Amino acid sequence: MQTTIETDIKQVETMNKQISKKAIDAIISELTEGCQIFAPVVQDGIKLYKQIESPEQINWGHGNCHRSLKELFFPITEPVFSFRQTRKGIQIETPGNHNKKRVVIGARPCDCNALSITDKVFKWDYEDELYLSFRENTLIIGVSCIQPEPFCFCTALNLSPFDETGSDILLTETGKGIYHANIITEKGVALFERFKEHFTEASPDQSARKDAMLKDIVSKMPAPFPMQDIKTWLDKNFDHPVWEEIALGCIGCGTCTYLCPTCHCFDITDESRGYAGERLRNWDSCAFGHFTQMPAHQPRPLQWQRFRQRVMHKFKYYIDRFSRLACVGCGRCRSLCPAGKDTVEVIQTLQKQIDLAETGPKTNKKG
Amino acid sequence: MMDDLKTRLKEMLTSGAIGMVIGYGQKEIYMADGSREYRTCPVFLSRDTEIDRLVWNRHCVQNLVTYLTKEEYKESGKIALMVKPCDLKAIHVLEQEKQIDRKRLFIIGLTCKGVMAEKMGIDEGHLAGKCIKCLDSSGKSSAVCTPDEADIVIETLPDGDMPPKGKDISSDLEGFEKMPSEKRWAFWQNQFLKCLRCYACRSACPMCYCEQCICDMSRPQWIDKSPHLKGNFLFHIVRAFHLTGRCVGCGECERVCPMGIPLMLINQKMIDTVKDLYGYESGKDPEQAPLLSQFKMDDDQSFIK
Repeated sequence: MQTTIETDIKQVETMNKQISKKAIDAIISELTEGCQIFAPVVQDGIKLYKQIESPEQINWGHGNCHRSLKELFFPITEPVFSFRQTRKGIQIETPGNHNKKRVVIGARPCDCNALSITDKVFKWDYEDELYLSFRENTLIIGVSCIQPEPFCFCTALNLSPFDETGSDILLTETGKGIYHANIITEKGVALFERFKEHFTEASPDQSARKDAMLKDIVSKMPAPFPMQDIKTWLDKNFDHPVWEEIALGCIGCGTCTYLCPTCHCFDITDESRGYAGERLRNWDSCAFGHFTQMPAHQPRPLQWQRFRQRVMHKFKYYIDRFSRLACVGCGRCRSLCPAGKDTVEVIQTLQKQIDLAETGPKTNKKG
Repeated sequence: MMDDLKTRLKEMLTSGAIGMVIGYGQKEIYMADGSREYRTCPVFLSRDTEIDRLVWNRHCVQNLVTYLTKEEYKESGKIALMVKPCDLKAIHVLEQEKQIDRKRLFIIGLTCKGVMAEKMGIDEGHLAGKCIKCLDSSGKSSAVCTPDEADIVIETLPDGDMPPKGKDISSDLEGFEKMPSEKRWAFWQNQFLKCLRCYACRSACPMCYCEQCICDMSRPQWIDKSPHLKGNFLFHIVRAFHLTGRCVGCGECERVCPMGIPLMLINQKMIDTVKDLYGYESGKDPEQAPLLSQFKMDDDQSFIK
């Protein structure tokens, strides 16, 4: 199901290198000179991608940031342009912060992979300059998960905790303070060339150790779900009565969508005082009652219809349109849903429906 | 006791006396290391065969009253609802505000010895901050659902030893109020910078039932919809104002916040203020008039200058 990416990110033949933690720190220190560095930082018990000044600030601990990597490319709130009415007419100014060179270090493979999914929609029928210029100017150094978090399920979607997609360089800690480095894209090669002296060739031993680690981690994680079968079921069952049941309990907040690394809906709003103001784009969520509300009509008046929309978008519509699932199994929605709703449980419920349809007549009525 | 309840609920579902039970159940969840864990979550049962799923333990934290005003549950016939003594206060406010019809509700009143503190999806290993003042030193609850208020009272207490008490919300607030104003200002700036405006606080709140929230309006846009610092301050201040004299302190807003913003500091302050100024406690009695729709000649008027 996870087809190869067709974006214009220039993949190269992966180079296998080795680098020490100390050398990584040295590179980061040097990079802070000319570009902005973003990395996981823990503050007030919450881990977020933040701009850092020195490598000591980076949190190298296991697990994901509370908010996904998407906020660095598609911020929670972002000015599209600012306007000012003057005697000469209306002056419009576009934001100028998108061309700075940026490096992200410490992003998890699911978050990086999610960018290859959102890339599709942001360069679909309209090329979204804001997102794409951030993408173009950012180099991503991902870090493999050698200890998945309790709610992770990337393997259930045929992805891997060592997945290279979306990273320019992927680091895997194979020994204390020693990282295996996959140099994946042209951007990654450029960084490697600049800091060549810090890298050594990965020994066959180290590569073998990395493969063994991956095998061990994956063997414990959930086995792949039959996502193709689920897609086929979704194709035919928009009106199935099970939707109402699946959605029971959803309180209609935006937690799952806002924490999701692939959810990308936004709202546009103007804010002005006097003669000047800004047009902003803000995250929006299909779980909200007023989402896509038309002047006289709300196409999804009930919560279960909105819940269905999210599931359909992730596991059907996105595949129809872009041949990718819009879920990477990061587990944020599962771990933080206020009402304990669980994406894995949803997939399992749909799977049960498929089994029911195969083994016996389906009941159209509850009770 | 739970067995009696289950038998009764089964009968009521079969006879059609109730259409749905909203209670707590456990579900098996799939963990990354291949293990299965049990998580307590709300369950919505409309078949008698499902009733055995009901549980009553210290992880029954969520305030289920919030579902009563949601559109999807209005068509379910009479609802049987599992209610802790603190959640019952929310039912009282909804009754006062004419939002629910008590006759459509079968209240299963739980006897509570405190529930666990949960923050950002994690069990903090001690009692919730709101529980401390409800419990005496022996761990017995001072607030219980009485047979007058509940249709059936469950006297069975949650199993297990008493967990560590943790911090009382009032002592948290006291500590916070000792900080100089610049520090408090910096504290909230820091907190509200994190706010995503996912509105989990609003969605989980039993008192936030407005069909049209002022914070969602775009023409005119009274409250900045953007999650920048100014917009977030506005949202949370407006929310605090709208909950004054109504918030029952169930703590759901803080529990569900995915960014861990300590919203109960604000709510507890408003609860205390209302009590100090007017001797009013929200949700104490379904018959009392809402605070803001009553006036007494001896009400405090010192704020009029």
